[in-house]
Amino acid sequence: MILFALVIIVAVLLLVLGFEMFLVLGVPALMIKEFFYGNLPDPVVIQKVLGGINHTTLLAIPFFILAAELMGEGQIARRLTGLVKVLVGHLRGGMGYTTIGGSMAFGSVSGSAPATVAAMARMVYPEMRKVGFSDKFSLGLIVSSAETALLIPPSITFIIYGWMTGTSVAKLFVGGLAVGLVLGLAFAIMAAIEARRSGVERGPRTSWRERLVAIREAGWALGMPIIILGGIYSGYFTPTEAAAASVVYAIFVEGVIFRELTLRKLFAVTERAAISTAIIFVLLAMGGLLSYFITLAQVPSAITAFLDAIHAGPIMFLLIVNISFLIAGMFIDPNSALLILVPPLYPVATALGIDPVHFGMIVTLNISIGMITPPFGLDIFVASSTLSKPVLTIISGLWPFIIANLIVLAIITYVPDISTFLPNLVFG
Amino acid sequence: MKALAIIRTAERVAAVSIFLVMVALYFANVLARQVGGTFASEFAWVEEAVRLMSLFLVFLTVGLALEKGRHAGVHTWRDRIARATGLPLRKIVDAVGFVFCIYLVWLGYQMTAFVYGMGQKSPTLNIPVFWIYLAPTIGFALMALRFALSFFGRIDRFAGQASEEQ
Repeated sequence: MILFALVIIVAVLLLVLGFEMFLVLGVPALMIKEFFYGNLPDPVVIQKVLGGINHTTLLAIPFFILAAELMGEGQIARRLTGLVKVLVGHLRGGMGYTTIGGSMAFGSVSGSAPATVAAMARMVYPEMRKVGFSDKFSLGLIVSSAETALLIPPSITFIIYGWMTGTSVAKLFVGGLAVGLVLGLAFAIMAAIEARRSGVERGPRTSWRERLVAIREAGWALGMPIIILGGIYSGYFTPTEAAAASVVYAIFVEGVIFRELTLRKLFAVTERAAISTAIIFVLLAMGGLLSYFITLAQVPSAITAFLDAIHAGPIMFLLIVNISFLIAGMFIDPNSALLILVPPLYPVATALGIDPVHFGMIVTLNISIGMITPPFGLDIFVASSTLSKPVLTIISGLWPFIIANLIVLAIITYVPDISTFLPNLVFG
Repeated sequence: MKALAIIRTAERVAAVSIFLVMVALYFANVLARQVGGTFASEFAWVEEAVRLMSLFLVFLTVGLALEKGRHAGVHTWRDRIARATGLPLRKIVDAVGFVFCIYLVWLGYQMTAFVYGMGQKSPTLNIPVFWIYLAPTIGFALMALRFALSFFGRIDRFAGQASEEQ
């Protein structure tokens, strides 16, 4: 027990003192091995590290990251947002809907919330202010709308969760679409109320001619979600194949059609994507090691026994899940939160009869809320540096959205059908 | 530091080339499936090859990511705690990171040498399996190098993280 406490203390110390997250995961894992499983042969460590990343499903991650970088750098993301704007921009609060819809459109071609914040902030913030949304509300909406990127497929979080739990990534993608739409709807209601309350102006009405032009301009960009979503849902592509195809399509459209992608740019973008991939994969590798020891130490059955002892059913368990993910999400990055919490909690969830897709939605929604929750929500800092706004201003604008998020989280948690209806409809 | 510049260029060029070849191969594999039949089955090795390449992609880039201060972590309190306690925290992080990486290099090397000695070949790609274990061995060595250089003040890998502080 003393040794176990020591491992926990070391892990917390490493985290607080600002050690790299792979060390925060890796050093305690090695300590557990030395203290409790000293007779295990050492090469097990390398096997588990590789086991954490040597998997075909995970190949979707580098491909989707590269595709997202290519589109963010180029025209595809901008044109998709432009299309949303001509469709809803003339409504009262239309710039608010454009922000939400644009983030979802961007999310449907990338899978990263910080990338969505960075891309959307520059595009929509000045226009939101121009039509009369307050500074705080605009910032809050931009940052929280980016959450939908984690839920709207393709989502890297779902790929990692699917790989960790053996859940179908395609099913998770469909479920995420539904949950992402619910979240977007909640934000749209807030934008509508805010627009009415503070007398936001209507944008100029766009003619059908302008709309046709925007649709034509977005034509090639629209091919992207069609390839990714259509390809996966029709069963034509596996998620990994869709990811590879989306890179080829992005290179083709940005390079050949829009003629904006030079070789030099391709090199820079690919290098950036490689680094982002390495950051995630080194965490997955250490997570593979750590989760092996979590399983070996029978942590999940200890949790189940504890829940039995306090007579906690699924409702109580899900409350515990929500609270632990929210707290983790405030401090550590989404991938580490998944790697630490899913191995001990997922077996308990299945034992309690919770649907794996439903559990994935709860976990991912929690993680996305964590990304916008002070003190360390990553998206807050991305918005702060992109728009040169003080962190505190952004945080004060975020509170209403965090409350809305928690309400949505409660609905998603206790109404499983929202998460499972679409996957069951599509995949039977 | 010229040696480091050469290593850095090698890492960048290798990572970008491997990445783009992975995309091309995986996509070609999907196209080949359209043709179907024996032609498609001749591409069975692609999946394993791309997986192996992804290992090298990751482990040839982890050192670069470390040098740029890009690895995930909670960096908010580190410098404040260091100032308050007078502890050389950055050096401590570098030292611990170095020892950790060197230990994994040692394990990786043992594993690589063992599998190399067995001469085991992979099922579809038919190449020696030791390549799989070589990737992390190289990767942790590249990170150990950065931790050591940072410890001795030859590179500033914390510069990018300072801006996260508020």
